[in-house]
Amino acid sequence: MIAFLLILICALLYPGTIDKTKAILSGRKGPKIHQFIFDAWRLFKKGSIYSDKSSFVFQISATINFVCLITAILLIPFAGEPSLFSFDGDFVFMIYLLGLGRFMSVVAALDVSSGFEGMGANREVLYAALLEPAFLLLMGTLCIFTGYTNFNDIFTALYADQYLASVVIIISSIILFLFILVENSRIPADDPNTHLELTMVHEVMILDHSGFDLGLIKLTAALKFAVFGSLICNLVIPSHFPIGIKILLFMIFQFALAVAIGFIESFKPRNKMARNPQYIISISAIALVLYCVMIIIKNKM
Amino acid sequence: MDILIFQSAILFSLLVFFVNIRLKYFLVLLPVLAIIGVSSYWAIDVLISNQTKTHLLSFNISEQIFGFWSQTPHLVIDQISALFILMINVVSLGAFIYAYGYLKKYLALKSPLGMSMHYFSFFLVYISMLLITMMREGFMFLFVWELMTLSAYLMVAFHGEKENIRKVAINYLMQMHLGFLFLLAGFLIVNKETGIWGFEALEVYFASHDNYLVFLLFFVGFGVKAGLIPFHTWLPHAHPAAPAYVSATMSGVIVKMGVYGVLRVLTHVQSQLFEIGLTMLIVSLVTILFSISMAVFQRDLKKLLAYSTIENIGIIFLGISLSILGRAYNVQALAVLAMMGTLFHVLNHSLYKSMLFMLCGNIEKITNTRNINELGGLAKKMPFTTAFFLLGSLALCALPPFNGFVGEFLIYKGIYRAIADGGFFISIVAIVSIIFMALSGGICIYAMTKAFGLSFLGSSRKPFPEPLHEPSKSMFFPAFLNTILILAIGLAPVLILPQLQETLSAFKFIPKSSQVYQVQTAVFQKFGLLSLILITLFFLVYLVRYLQQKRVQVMHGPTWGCGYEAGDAKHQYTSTSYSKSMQNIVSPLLQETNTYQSFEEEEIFPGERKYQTTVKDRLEESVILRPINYLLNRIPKLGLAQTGRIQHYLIYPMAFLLLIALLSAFGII
Repeated sequence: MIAFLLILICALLYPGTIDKTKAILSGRKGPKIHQFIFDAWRLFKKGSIYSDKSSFVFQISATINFVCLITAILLIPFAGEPSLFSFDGDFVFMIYLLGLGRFMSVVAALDVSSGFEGMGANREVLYAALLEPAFLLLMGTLCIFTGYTNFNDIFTALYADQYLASVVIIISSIILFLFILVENSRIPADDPNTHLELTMVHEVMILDHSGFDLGLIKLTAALKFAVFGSLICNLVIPSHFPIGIKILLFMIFQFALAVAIGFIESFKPRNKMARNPQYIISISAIALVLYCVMIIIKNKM
Repeated sequence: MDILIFQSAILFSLLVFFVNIRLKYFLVLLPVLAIIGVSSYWAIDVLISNQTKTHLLSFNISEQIFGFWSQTPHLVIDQISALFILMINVVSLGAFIYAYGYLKKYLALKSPLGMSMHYFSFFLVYISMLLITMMREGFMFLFVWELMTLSAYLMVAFHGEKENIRKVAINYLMQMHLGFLFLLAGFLIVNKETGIWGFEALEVYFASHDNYLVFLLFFVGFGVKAGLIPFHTWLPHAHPAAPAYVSATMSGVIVKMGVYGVLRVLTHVQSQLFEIGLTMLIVSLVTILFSISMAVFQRDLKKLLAYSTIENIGIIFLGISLSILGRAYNVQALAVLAMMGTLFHVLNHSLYKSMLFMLCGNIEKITNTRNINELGGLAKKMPFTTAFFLLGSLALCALPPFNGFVGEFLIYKGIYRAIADGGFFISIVAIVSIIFMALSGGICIYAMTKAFGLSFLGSSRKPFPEPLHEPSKSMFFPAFLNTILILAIGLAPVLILPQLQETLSAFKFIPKSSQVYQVQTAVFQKFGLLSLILITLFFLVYLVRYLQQKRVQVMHGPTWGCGYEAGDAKHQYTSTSYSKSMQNIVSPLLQETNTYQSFEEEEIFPGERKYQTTVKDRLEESVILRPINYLLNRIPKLGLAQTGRIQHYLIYPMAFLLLIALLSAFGII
């Protein structure tokens, strides 16, 4: 339960923190950190305009996408505190829930019969397909390291072997961080602030959403940050700490993550579109290397 | 009593040849319903009592037809058969009822004999599939196996007046017979060593002989039916050529008979599990990734689904091979979970795939096309077809809370358990399987968003021959039936878990462990609860959205066009452009040909142009077409000896006799 609330709070502050970091780094004052809450609230109160071409699929897609993320949060533990739902293989359930959300957002993009949105849609599904192995490989590594196959037990048992754990945690966090950047359509794979539809991936898919649906989509994107950010927090926060310190560390790490994303967005250019698949596959490759190292370390040979 | 109904229903169906064309359908439906009732009763009886049941047919088909086989055929139903029987019944019931609406317009076009043949072959396919799962005796098994192949051939050739469909049907028939030869060889070898005909002989044979080679024969024989790569080339052609309900039956259950065969042989396998498992693993991994990549490039909706069928068969065989490898390396959880996942997937795939194929039939009936590039914008005029297709696509992509996810989840879970518990080799196998399954899952979403998004959503790319409307109600029966089952299995897989557990007990190599089941029951309960939460949350949020939309101003306007006002349907993404970004990655697998006429320099006002791009399966090209063309070129050279003169022909036996005489004179033979 505690993870659920913390993730919701973090999610609301994520976009603001990233924007604030970017603003300060480019010498602007920038909006307040909690500006996103006002933005989302305003969208939820606004009227909507729908494309003539769209059908009922367009009407339900944003809702399903949002609900998938909320359900996924139920599976995330909080550094030693169990999650609401936990069973062997729960991470597979989580990643497939996100798949359901993605499926719906992609078909909604195709529903408005726009060339732009089709462009984003097929890029999005391709990148997602190439990215999915990275997460499942990473979970495989953690399974082999701890001997458990669900989030709760993995994160609790992670600190049994202090020295090895530090190596695994650092590399896994890096992989997850790279994963987050692509999954949330940020630089270097995609740029949310790009001004040209032809070069967008995720942003172009939601061009025709407005009002309540757009609010849900923005909220979903923020939640996605917080969900994967909390996985990194689960990795780095030792489960035996007292709860107060864990909450504090959780907030600090989430904040640091948002700042780091802001930093990267400020200083890194985005990839060329044709280079993206290669870049995304390389994340899986790093995860595979970590897995092979783990086989050797755990004396399985 | 039940056996009497069973037999008289078979005989009753022969009446179809002697009645009015309008009555024929009902004369087949009646015996089918009777047999569905009887066989379902048998199957449920077996599952409830958890014992193998035997029924004795009172007439001896083989003796009466062939005159030399005196053993009365037994119908043996065990737990594996029961599972397959129920599956065949559900899919066939849907297909039979669907056929009524679909065939209506052909009643006037086809001859009465043609219709009788079609109905009767449909009936034969159904009955032979049932008998395949019940026959253990080798000769009868091969007989009904062949009966299924032949009658399926007749069904595929329903539109046989078209040249290309005849070609496809014959291609199917020849490949099936190639597979049949392997099965025959397998049975013959076993018979020679043990003196018994049939699957019981395998029990004796495998105890004392090499397991691998004979298994390989059966694997190839059944693999052709199942459509494993490289024996898949008949499948993407045969499915689109047949009427919708025939493709649904083929994809839903006929290819599963290949799976059934392999499972049946596996119940007897006793040693060399490692080699068997590894062979199957490699074949299935290649099958999964190759076929789903090919699915992305299809523009024929049915062909896309056919390739996805191959992928699902690959996943089924992946589960089987992981289960065997789990046993070979003593990872109990993998052995149990992977096989359980496989059985779930066999069932699940037949439900959603048969539904999707029949919905394709709905589209084809109304629009007269299956080409994605000519469809689009069906969602507003055909909302039910659209909603069912969306549901089927989600289940096909193995997304929760639908049934497709359950099987894949179990396989994943087994794999992760193996990673945590297993040794070096099994860790490598597991991670390779994860990479392939994850990639194929993602690409499956690619393929299905394309199939659903481009053909149902957006605006129509070409004008349709008649205004769009929903087809008749009987064509929705399978969709309703299967949707209920899809949701039931997806939300409460725990309901059929005990039945599958009994089915698993038929396999010798799977350890009997009640602990895994108890754990799994608990997992499935949470799993179901989570799915329910997902659905409840959806309705809640949607309710909030609905109330909000009532309060605010909702407008409709043109799609965002970046300032361009004249956007029309031609600006939408097409099948080809949607798959382009994938094509850059998998280009070695494909053979792309573009035919177009380039612009001339002096052409100031260029006229209308055609640009055609075709993507072909490279494996089909190199495994089937190239060797055949090679043979076709070489074989005529053998005709050198065939001069047509009787004098020359007389020389050949003379030379042969001389050779024999010489060889025996020198004591060589």
